[in-house]
Amino acid sequence: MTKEKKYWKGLAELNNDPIVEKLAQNEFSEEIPVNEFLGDSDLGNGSTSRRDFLKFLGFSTAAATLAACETPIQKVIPYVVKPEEVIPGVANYYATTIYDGHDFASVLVKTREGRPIKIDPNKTALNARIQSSVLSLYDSGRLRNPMKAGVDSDWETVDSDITSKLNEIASKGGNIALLTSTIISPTTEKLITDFSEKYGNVRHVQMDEVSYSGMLDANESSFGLRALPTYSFDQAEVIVSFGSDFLGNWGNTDCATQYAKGRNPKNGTMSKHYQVESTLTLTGSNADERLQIKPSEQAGLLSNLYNALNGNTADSRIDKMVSSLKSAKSSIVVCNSNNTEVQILVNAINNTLGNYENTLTLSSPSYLKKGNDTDVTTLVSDMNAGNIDALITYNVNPSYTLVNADEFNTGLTKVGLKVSTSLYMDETAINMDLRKGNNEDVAYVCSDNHNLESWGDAKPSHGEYTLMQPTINPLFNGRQFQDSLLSWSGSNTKYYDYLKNYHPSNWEERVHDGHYSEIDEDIPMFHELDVVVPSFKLVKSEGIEFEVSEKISMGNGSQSNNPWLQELPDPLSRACWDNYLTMSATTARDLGIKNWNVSNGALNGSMVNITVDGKTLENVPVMIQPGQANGSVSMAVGYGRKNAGKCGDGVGINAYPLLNGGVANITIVEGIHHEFAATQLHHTMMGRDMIVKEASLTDYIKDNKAGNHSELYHTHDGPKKASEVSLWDEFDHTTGHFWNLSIDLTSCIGCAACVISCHAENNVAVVGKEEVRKSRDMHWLRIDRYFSSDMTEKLSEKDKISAIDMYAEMEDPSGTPEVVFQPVMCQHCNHAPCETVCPVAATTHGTEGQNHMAYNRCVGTRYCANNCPYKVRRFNWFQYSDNDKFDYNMNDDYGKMVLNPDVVVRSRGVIEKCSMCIQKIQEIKLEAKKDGTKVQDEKAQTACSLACPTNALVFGDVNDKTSEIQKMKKDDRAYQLLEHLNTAPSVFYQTKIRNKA
Amino acid sequence: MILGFIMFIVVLKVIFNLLMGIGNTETYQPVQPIAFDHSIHAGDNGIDCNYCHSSARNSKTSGVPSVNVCMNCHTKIKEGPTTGTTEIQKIYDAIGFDAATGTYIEGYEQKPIEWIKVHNLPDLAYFNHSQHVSVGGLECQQCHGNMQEKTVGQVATMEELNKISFNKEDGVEFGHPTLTMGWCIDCHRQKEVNMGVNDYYTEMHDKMKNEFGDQKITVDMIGGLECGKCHY
Repeated sequence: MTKEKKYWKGLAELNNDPIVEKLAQNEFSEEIPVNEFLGDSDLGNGSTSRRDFLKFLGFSTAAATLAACETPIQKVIPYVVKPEEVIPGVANYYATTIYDGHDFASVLVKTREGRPIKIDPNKTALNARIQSSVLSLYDSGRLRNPMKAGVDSDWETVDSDITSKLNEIASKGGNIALLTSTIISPTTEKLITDFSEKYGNVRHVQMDEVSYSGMLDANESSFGLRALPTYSFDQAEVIVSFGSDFLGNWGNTDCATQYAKGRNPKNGTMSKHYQVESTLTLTGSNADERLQIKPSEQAGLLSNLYNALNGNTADSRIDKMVSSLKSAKSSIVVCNSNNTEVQILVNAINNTLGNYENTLTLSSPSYLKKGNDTDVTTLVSDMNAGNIDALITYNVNPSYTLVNADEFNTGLTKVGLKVSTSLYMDETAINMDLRKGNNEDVAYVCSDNHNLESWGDAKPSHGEYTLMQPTINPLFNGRQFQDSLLSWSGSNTKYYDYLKNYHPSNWEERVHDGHYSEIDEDIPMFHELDVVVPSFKLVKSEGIEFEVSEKISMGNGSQSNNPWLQELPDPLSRACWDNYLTMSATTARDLGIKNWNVSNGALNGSMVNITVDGKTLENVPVMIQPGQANGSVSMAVGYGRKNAGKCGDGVGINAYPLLNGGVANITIVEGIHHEFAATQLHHTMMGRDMIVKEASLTDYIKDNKAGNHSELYHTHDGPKKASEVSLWDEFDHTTGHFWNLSIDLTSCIGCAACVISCHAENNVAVVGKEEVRKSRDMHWLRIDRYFSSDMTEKLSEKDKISAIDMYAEMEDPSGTPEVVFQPVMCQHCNHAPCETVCPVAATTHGTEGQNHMAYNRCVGTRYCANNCPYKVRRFNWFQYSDNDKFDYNMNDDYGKMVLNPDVVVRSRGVIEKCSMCIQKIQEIKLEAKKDGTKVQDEKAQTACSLACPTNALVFGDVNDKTSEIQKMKKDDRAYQLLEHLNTAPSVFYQTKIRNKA
Repeated sequence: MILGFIMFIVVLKVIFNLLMGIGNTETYQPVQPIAFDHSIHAGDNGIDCNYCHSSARNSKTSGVPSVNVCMNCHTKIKEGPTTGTTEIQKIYDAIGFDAATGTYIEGYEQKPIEWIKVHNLPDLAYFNHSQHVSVGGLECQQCHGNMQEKTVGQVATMEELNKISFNKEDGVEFGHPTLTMGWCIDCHRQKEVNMGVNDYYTEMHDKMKNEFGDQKITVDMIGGLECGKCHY
């Protein structure tokens, strides 16, 4: 009976709708997104039938088999005349300096066959951006030639044009302006003086994107010296920071090193760190006590602090801080405010506490920031008034970074000669060209050389000099600014000779070392402060307040086209390839703003329009950020570039127009949402407090094993540790090396310098925002960040909260969270779960304690990744090199030059992971064997341990009785991650100690 | 039926052998841009291999000599016994040397010589010459055959290598084609470790002597078969 019945799928089919007919013919009713997984987008457009496809497949398989029998011809091309210092296959190191107007470091550059491939620390610590600058060197988006009126030109034309125009302007008594970043090079300063003398009316204006002008002016009025003090964070018993992110972007990279030095619990003392801020910064997340305020409260609280130190009553929120400061022998108070009056107040506080010449000094000041806001404002208004006849920019991008960029751009039309010295055809260079003004006014763009291609020097602080030397010949037809200045000043001298004349003694030795000290004049010590101390009322505005922040990855945005930095997750939000408005959960709830996860776990967020001081940013995504003060919002600068290059263009939104902050008007944009790419989607440890073990300093002093107690199994023999009931046969690690890595969670500040160092050393691929969103990021080393939750097991017992409710609430981070950072890479288990499940034995154990991974043997079952309790194995879903769909550095002849030739570039379909830098270990072993000596402990370094500014990562051979690592392994704070699984890792952690009661 | 089965096995074996031949580069001897004769240089004149391939002692690569190394002798030796001046002239053309006057030409645009690589290892395998030459103390001939008797560079066959006296003394007999992984492993399983004085190894060697007594200690016993030593 039923056979005769006909069933319709719907009315449409019954009515013989043509669409239904058409759909029935298709195998899949939905369009299959073929192009998404095919490397070549044209493939889907062919007219090949299935039969043809199989024929082709058969033919090409046979052809490929035959072709494979023929060895491809490889050429080997030796030098004609080999430079004496180069041995192919052996790395050379050069000491040099990196300074891009924002970050400064004295570095060692590793070169292979004449190519710089890695940046290691020399005299100063490094951050992620300095590590990444080696990739920016090989940016194919850099300018190839000097440009005249938007087209390629040559140096003769450009030089003769510029020189004749400058002479013309000078003869008429016109005004010439040089707008540069902070100049820390003494020879460049001298060159600018020479240039000024030659042309007369030359005005030199220095600017910092995120300005320190207020602080510099305050020091000038307090001490008569426009400079920043040099800090000694290691000497301070109490550190108080009002919004200053000195571990991240404020100050210099050595602050972090000093900070960690002063916080070693082993001595029984640690500095006590108070942070008072509205936006959660890297520094704030490391603080022992953190107070959340709105930006407008800062000045009032500082005033209150000053008065309290002088005997008045303190605000209840800071009375603990005041008593700590009063009882401490030494302290430091820093503040990020760009208000001169506020900074004078900070100076007065430090003076009251007797900190000058103790923990901070102006008798050997730091010269890293010299920008002057007043000069910049005057310059822009003079440009608009038509008073500037020539403008030369160097190392700055005012059309992008100025708060009044529009005004600057309009002003450009009234400038006759416009010259931009830059690595890129950036916003300023383009705007100069677009805004012609008179018809004969053309803009010139002088292609600059990268730091690694240049000679130079720097005077970062009083009496300290560093030298810069080229590590590669210029890749393009560029010329460094200093040589341009010499040429425009009519000099025939090369900058190299000029530089050498400036540093006459021990030239070769100094270039070799990369730095030297020489005090030419003494600056008197300051003891007395004679200023009127400004006073501020403690006010709190009602509205939502906005302030800008800087990310550790992007900084001021000058390296925006660097894919390593774009894909470096923010330490706190864990999102990459993005900037966004951060907001507390309470404020978000009040405004009806949401963040939610979609089915694959990826994070989405509401979008808003934000207006501050009459300027509106549209469609800004909002990220709910625990630790952001209620009633305040913040956004990172450095994004929203228009002319950065293929990686940086269009990523995020430019927050520079709102640089000055203020009360914000926020409205939700209905109907659209933003897709974030976050690498960590849970925010708390969800009650599993055995992951990051922590204790207070008081408890630690009482019991060094505080917070570090093993989980025990109950056996018939009584409670036992996992290692005591093991079924595994142990490896013999008594002979030879046994490489271990210790990670100290007390000194890890989460700065991610190690992540970029790992990228550079191990050719880790960049996968792009879409792939990161699908949790396919390739980072071998990630830094997990956990917020504390307001719910604890104790609290639930006390308040009789059910287990389900308790665990649900444990997932919510606290509004005033404590933060921990935990770097996690392959733990190199000696009882490795991955090794036992690999069907092809591609991952095996080495006798030296590492877990090996043979990519050529891997067939991509991913069993190992599934069985890894630490989730550190990464799968190559695609071919990330030479693939137009992944158009980053590995799809680029220039970008590929940064690859480490000792490490293979992984292909599609294999698992990869941290190898504990086995190539570096093999290298130091071989060196020792050739020298007939033991491996020296200080030479044993992985990329991450070498990069760490705080020495939180310590690597070495525990069988070497002199090594630091074997002491750390025996330390009472040492523990292994997920010890109860008995995986016996070669990587171990040290408990986090907070200076709390 | 049985015949069919045998045929099937034979076909399988043929295909198997064909596939196993992939990557076997034994006897590979490409024509080089200069007809350089190893037998004249290393054989007749007895020049040490390390003189030209100097980075073998220090680096992962043995290094093809740069032209300035050739010129150490060839500024004076302008004519060879077999090819006369034609081949030597090619070096002069590369570096810019005027044989008639015996001087270098000023402002000459130098042209690097594009040699054809003979010993090709895939990128996935890391090999370091200095580990074998400087530390292990191997003779070049143990892997490269008697190059001093050959003209142009060639991948030696395993049969040839098995006849090399150094390999016989070391008790190394290869069973796999040259430059395949099996070939590397053959040696690592048979070659006795040099237990001579080297401070790096002292502690390890002392322990092994205690543990193994008079037993032959081969490379595989000190980690020479671990994947991660060559593949990373």
